[in-house]
Amino acid sequence: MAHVLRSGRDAGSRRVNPVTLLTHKIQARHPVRDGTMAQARGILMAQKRLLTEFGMGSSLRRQDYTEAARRAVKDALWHNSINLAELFGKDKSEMQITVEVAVQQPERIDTDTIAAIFPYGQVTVLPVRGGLDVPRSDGGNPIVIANVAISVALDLGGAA
Amino acid sequence: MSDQRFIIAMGMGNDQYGQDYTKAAARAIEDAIRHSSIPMFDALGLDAAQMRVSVTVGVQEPDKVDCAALAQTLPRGQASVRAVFGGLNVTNPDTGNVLVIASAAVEAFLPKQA
Repeated sequence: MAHVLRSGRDAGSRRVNPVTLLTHKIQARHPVRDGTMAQARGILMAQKRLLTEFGMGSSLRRQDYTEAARRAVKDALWHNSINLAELFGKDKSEMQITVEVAVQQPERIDTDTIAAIFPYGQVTVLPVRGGLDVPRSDGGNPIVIANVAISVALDLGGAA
Repeated sequence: MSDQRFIIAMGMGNDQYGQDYTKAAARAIEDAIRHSSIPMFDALGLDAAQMRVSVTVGVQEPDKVDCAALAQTLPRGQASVRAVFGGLNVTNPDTGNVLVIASAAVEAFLPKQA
């Protein structure tokens, strides 16, 4: 099993720990034990990003970045229905799902809550700084806007 | 046909003053397709011309939709557009203005890759 590792700027401490993923990858095929680094790169290359979905969500009163992100993820997911696994004869559980979540305070994203929205697939949530906070003139909580991009990759093996 | 649908994108669009169903439908299609991106063609070296794109728009007066013009707005693949009864018209009781809302479903198909 190969994982594509992405790091996000200002990704909070709650993001998926890349070391865990690396451990699995090394167990699957150790670059030294099973071949050259070039081959190891080949394994990673087989993981192809096939589709990206976009969404936007907001929190109007509570400055709840996780809720804004959750709505953005649902906006992205519910604008599309995808059948990529079927197209390639794969199981849905093999889908590698990368969720990039952009808000002004990414450290306040509860990545477990975001990951729990997805019914299947191997989900990695990457909070980054972005989105938009719109201040209120009355001094209340700003309106929070989250942007998300959900990318689906599949390991297509020899297709690399 | 033996090809397989790999995505359906959905969207909503409106025309607020002109009662232009084609314009509302074009915005609905744009809303649908701009919520996703398909790097698959470049990633796998697939020819986008293989992709069949089937668009259905729903408006209250489907006869007034220029489907041929809408088919030109799809950026890739072989597109066909049909209009059916659907969407929503909202009449402002104070001014009589009619706002038209269109729904769009954009389905993309490819031959099975497995």
